[in-house]
Amino acid sequence: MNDQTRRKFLLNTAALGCSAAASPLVTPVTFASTPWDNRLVVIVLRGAMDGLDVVRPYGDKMFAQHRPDLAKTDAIDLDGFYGMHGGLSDLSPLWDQGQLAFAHSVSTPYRNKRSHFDGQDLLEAGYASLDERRRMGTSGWLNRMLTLVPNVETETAYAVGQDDLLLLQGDAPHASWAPGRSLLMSAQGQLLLNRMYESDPLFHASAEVAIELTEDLMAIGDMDGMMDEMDSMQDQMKANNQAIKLAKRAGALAEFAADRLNEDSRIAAFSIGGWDTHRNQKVIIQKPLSQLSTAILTLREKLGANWDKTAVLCMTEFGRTVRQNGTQGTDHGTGGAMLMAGGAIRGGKVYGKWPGLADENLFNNRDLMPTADVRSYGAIAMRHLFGIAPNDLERVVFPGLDIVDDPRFIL
Amino acid sequence: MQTQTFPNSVSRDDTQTAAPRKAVFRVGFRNHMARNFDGQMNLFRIMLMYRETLGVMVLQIDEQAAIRFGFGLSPNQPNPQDLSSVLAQLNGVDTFAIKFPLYSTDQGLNALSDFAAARKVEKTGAADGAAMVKSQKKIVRQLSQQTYRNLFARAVDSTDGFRERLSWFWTDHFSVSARGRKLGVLMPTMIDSAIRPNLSGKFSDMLMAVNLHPAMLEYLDQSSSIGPNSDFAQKRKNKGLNENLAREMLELHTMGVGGGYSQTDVRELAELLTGLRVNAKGVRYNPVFAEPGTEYILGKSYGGEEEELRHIKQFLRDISVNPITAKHLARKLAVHFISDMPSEDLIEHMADKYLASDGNLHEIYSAMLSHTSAWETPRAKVKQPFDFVVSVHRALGGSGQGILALKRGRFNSQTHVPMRLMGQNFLQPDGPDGWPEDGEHWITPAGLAGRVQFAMQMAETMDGDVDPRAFVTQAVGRDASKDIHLAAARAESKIEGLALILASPDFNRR
Repeated sequence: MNDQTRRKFLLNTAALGCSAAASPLVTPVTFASTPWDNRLVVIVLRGAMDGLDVVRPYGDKMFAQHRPDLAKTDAIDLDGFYGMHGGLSDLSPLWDQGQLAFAHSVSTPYRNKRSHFDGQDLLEAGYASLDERRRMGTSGWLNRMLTLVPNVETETAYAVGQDDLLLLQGDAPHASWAPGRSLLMSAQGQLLLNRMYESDPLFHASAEVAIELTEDLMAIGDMDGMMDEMDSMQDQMKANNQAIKLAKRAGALAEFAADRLNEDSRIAAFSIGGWDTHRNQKVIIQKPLSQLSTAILTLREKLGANWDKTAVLCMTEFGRTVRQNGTQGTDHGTGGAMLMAGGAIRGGKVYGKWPGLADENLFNNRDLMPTADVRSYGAIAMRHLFGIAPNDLERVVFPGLDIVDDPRFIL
Repeated sequence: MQTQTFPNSVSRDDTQTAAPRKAVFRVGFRNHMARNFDGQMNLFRIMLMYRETLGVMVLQIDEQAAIRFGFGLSPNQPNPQDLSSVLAQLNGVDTFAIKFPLYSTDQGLNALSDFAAARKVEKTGAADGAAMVKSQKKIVRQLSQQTYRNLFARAVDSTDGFRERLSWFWTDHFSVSARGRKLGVLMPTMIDSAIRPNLSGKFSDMLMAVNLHPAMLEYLDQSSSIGPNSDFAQKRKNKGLNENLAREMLELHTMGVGGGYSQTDVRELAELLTGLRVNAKGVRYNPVFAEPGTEYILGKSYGGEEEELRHIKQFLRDISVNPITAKHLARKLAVHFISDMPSEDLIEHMADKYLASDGNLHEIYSAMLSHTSAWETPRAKVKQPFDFVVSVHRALGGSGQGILALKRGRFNSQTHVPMRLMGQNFLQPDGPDGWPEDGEHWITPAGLAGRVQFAMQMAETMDGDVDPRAFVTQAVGRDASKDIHLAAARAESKIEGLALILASPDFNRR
């Protein structure tokens, strides 16, 4: 870790009895402590990624009918049935080399309410229902898995980024790291902000330029340097390089994660937001796609030889409506897709049972019908990567999960 | 658009929890009104009106009291339940000034003297001169940092919100910019020595305390004003009056611009004020600098044979109860607390009560709070950046101790630094007329961007622990608009949800 990252480093010592003095950054690292050699990266895709847009079922004749406009944008054929969104074209080589895979029509057990928070909460907590989540308290499935493993150190698992992921919260120790202040508001956040401002003429008059300025303020980073940057802001606004900034940020998170995984860490988790594409989806989804693509390619590059021992699981809280809406976007749905990458993945394949897009096959006549619990993919990955017993996975990590079959997506 | 409906459960919960509180409050409020205020009929009527026209939405006086007349809602504090408790607190002990103390005026003056002494040593070329100056600079810097901390801590922590808001109102009314070393050190001491002790007594006491405070005299150049016929001027040439303090006293502190005073009044007042000076020990009256003779101001004569401080005090007492002053103060208070365009009826009412009580501030406040229009048109005002920043900390459950415990960089980036982006330099207004009141001044693209950015920044500090759907009512109140509930429910992450609520027009208004 260079001095810059070291300086910005912050350790989460929320773990049991773990003080800052015991952190691996202050005391020398002991290399014998790592429980395994395989690596797992979990990327939470916040905002509900549209699985039907990212992995398009062109082979289903209903697809183009449900999505007359969205189905037309650039895509890359995967296997004759599915096509991958053109925004992920940089990942094509990984597909060809068998290092990229998808699972389609998956979901958490969350149904009907379609709230981002509840959906993400359940995805990260890993419980079967929100009631259980409330009853069991605050812990995430990755953390509960760590409680089953001896020799887990703070350094073993990393939460990377601004939000301390629920995924890693709980009794087992974990570390967290956040780069400089660079959180940007998502397209959906901006839309909601604009909507609130619309009804207040005073705020409405300033809103549009203000929101653009905010992005630049966010991107500038440290507050003390902000005033100096104010002057050059007009130029920055014109450049409109937010997408590049976002991708850089995702790359920075991935690079940090790779650095740690090359040392004593074996698990890293972070999130990529911006998937809530209620309108103008073909434009808005480009930003999170380019972040995701950058993150995966950065992991591959920086992990070097360790990439072969790595599985990256990218999960989202739920999918989006099968039919495109009246504003060239999609609304909150149920079944979605997940993305898997890494040398430890048996790639070049779209896993999962396809439920079909005929009206009678849809969930609530609007959403993709889930055919598998997304948690089972997490469970199977941990079973093969880390040797966690199925009984523990179904009892402690994902209580109530029934691992029916193993699609053997881990090499 | 999505078919997800607006969460009905939220509004249902709201009415369920609001109903009992409302009932309790109504009784207390009505009894109280009957005892203390003659505005009770009006208020009662308006409460009925709200109930009838808005159905479930009730007049949330407890929340309005905290938002409009305090620094906003805090999950750690009960809202004031009626007007009498708001006013009664004002007469009690200034708990939060004691809990979060500032240094005294004398301590400030001493620090400046020590600094000047160190500078003197440095100029002689003595070996330790530079080190002395450096250490004095450090002391001054520490004073300033402590002051910033404690001022924010008071506002965030206070359960006596109206007192805090009043203290800032009067600090702004008697604006002194804490720019430069001297005023940087002296200005904050004016708050606790001249303003807060006199918040709810006679206005003349505050007027005197402020205008006999070294910060004000320094800021308005009083020491350079010398009576043209004074003993001092007899010996030196090119010395004369400086009208600065006299003009601002009339234009800003008392009658207001267009208050009917003439240039002659300004000049006569400037002559009366000569002799009032500030030196290293503080404010002194020195007759050597005073213009001899009687001054005629607004039709009344002051002074005569002996030049004495008591003549100035007499003038301040007189002008404090001038009907034009009464109206000016009433209007400023109403504009600050209620609306950029307050009703004339309200201003008359306040000014009348003030004059009838011989210039008692407590009476002008109680007249304002008991007037119907104090509770009408909720959220007509835009929070100034300081209010906004403080209310964000409060909404997120911040405390005074929490503010004191922040590391320095974090304290700066969560308080006065973002305020600059929103257009307000903490303790440094651009001129003696203080900060503008109109919303248009604050809600500009750059100012609003600063607020949205701050909202995001502070939302992040909550680590996703707070559910935005519950936070709407906690932060904005039970009357939060449907748009905010929608934004909170639809945001794609908890952090963004909180940020949207804090950036909402409702939260930015009071």
